[in-house]
Amino acid sequence: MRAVTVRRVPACRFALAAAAAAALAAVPLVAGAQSVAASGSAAASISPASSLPYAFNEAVVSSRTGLSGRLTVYGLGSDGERYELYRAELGYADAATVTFYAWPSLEAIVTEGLDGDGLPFEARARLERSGFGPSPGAETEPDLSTLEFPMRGRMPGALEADRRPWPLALLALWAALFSLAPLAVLGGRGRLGTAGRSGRYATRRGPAVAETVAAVSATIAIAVLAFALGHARPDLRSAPDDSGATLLGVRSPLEPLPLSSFDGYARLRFQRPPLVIAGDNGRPALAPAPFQAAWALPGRPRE
Amino acid sequence: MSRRLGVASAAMVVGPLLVAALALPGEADVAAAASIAGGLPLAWAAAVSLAASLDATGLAIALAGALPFGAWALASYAPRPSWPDLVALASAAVAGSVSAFALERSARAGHGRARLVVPIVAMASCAAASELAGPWSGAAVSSLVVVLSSLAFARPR
Repeated sequence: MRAVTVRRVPACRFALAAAAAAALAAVPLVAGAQSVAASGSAAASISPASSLPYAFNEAVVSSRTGLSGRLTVYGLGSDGERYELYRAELGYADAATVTFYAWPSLEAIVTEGLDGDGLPFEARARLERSGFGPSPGAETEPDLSTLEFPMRGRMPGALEADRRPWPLALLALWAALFSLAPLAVLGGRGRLGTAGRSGRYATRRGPAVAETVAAVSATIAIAVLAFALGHARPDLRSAPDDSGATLLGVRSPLEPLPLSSFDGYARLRFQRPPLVIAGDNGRPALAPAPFQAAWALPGRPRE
Repeated sequence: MSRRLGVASAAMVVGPLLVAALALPGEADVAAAASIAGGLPLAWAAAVSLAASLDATGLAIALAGALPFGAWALASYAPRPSWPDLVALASAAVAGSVSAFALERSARAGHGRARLVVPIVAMASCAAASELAGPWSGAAVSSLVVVLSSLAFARPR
């Protein structure tokens, strides 16, 4: 009897300790899950102001304790794909108005970010399907969804970027001068770079230093000029089509393209959903991205 | 045996770069990394210097000849090109040149092409630091290389 008791007591103690350890380990998980769930479901929300297809729409993201850090909006398509539609870095804001591109198969938008206390939240909103129906006066317009995008090599020439002649002319001039410089040096005082080193050139150290300084200054000046002239700006080029729509070439691989560039178009169908970011002065702009085409209907954006 | 930069070598540095600039589209469909866009012309100049067995002066002049092409490529093909990117590119070229001069003075630097390998590696390291940690970090690494090379250069033989 005593032997049995002695065996049971350590076993009970071990079981009790294991249960306590498991309970302690589970507390943070449960607490964290509750915190995120409460923050996501009750504290934050995203409210689309409109949901026009083939257009940029706005939504308001708000949280009871404000917003901070990175704010991201994703779109969930009917195909199950998830697209990043908006991204911004916030210092702190009570609410944020986000701009996102909508297309017919976009079913819901989801926002993720940090609230004012730095806690993560997630909120989603289903888009009203009523906004995706034909609008008054749209019967005569071409159906953007049926238009096909030409392959990259067969895009109209009007969509290609113009070649900027000035930087190329500058580089050609530089190449000519650089190639001929050794000839001038040879004609003057032997091979390039020998001045101020030895022999009779040792007495010409002063002029050689001046020539070196001049050459370095010229190199820096040409490099700065080539950099300034070569700067590629984001570009939106258009080619009218027989269908009545316009094919756009959206070229902004280096810099954001302001959304105001699309002000003259009522509907836009991009090859792939574009990412909108807060550009200069906080105004929405397309994030730098590889070239893509878009079909557009000229006119004022409809409400 | 190292050589100075002649007409043929100078044309070999800038000629292909000019042809590439004329052949490439004015704006690319996709952006290239800053170190690639700006660094390729410098890499070409370094390769020509190696192939022609140029001396330190030749390497410095070749890099100077390629620098405007690197600046243009940086502005045309790198994402969000900025002046710090250009500063980092130029400082990498300066670091390569100064370290080449310092090694040329050193008795243990080796001869011929081997003498250029270390400066070229130093220049590539500066470009890599610029790509990985930002242009100012790359410029800082280049400055460090220049200072260390200058100290070695100033040390009496």
